[in-house]
Amino acid sequence: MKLIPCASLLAMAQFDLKNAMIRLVDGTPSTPNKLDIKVGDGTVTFDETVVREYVLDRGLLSTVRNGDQAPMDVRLDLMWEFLKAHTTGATSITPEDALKRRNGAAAWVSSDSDSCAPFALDIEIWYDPQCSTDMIEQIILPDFRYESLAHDAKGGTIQCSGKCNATEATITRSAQT
Amino acid sequence: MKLNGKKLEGPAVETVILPREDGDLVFRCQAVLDFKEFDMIVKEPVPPTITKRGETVAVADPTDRDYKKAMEQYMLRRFNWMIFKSLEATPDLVWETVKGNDPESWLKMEDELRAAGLAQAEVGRIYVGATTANGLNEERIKEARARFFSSVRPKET
Repeated sequence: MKLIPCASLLAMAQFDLKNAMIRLVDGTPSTPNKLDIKVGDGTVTFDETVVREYVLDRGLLSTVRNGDQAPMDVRLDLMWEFLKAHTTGATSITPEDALKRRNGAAAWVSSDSDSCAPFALDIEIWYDPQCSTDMIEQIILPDFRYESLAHDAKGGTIQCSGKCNATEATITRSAQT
Repeated sequence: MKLNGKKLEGPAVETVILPREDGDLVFRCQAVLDFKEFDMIVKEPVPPTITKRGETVAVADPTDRDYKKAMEQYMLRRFNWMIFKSLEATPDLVWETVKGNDPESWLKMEDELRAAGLAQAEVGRIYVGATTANGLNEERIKEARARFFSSVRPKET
C-alpha cells in the first residue's frame, strides 16, 4: 500500500460586495468591539483547502483518508465608503488599527483563546441582497491574522491577505428583520 | 431640610395592598434616589462613530440599528432595576430568581410575581406603586397640582 498526499482546492467564493458589509470583530465576550467597513466596490475571497490521501491497494485506488488540516486563505481587496466603529473610548479606528491592535483598537482582545498566540480577529461578511424577501447571509471567517496589508486611508482602499486558524467558514442565513 | 416648617423625612414611599383571605399582601415601594449602583453594573451604550472616505473626523451615529436596540435593552433594564430597587423597601420580600447583581434576572421580575399567584392587574398595581414613588406617575402629579391650586384662594382686590 502507498500513501499519496494530494492537496485539493475544496471551495472558493467571490462576492460582489456593493451590498455587503465587512465587520472586524475582536474576542471580547458578550459585547465585542467591532469595526464595520461599508464596501463601495471590491471583492473578498476565501479559499478552503482539504488535503486528501488516496490509498492504493496493489496499484489500484482503494480508499481515501483526510490528510493534515490546512488554514483558510483570505484576501480582501476593496474600496470602502465609510468605517463605523462600535467601540468605547475611541473616536476613529481604521482597519489597519484593528488588524494591528493599535491606536483606538489598542485594547481589543484577540479572538484566539490562546493568549500567547499573535493577535487575531474574526472577519464577518454580512451580505444584504437589498430585497425584503431574500435572506441575509452571514459568513464568519474566524481567527484571521493578516500577512500582507496595504491601506490607503485617503483613497479608502484596503488590500489585505492572510490566513484563518480554521479550516472553513461558518455560513448562516437569516430572515430580514 | 424643611419645607413650610415641615421636616422632609427621606424618600417617598407608596404602599400597595393586595387583598387575600389568608392575610393581605403588602408591598412597600420606595423612591430610588440615584442610579449609581445600576451604573456600576450596566454600562450605557455609546453610539458607533462613522468616518467617511476622504474625511479624518469621526462623528457619532445615534441612528445605528444595533445602538438603538442596545439602548432599548438598556432602558428596559434600567426601568426594571428601579422597580426591583423600589421593592427592597418591602420587609421580608425574598426573590427566588431575581438577583440584584444580575441584569438578565431583572427582566424576570414580572414572571416571578405572576408565578407567585399575582394576577396581571395586581402586578400592574405594584409597578404603578413603584413608578409613583419615583415621581413618574403623571396622573398623581396632576392630582397633587390640582389639590394645591384648589386650596389656594385667589387674593381679593
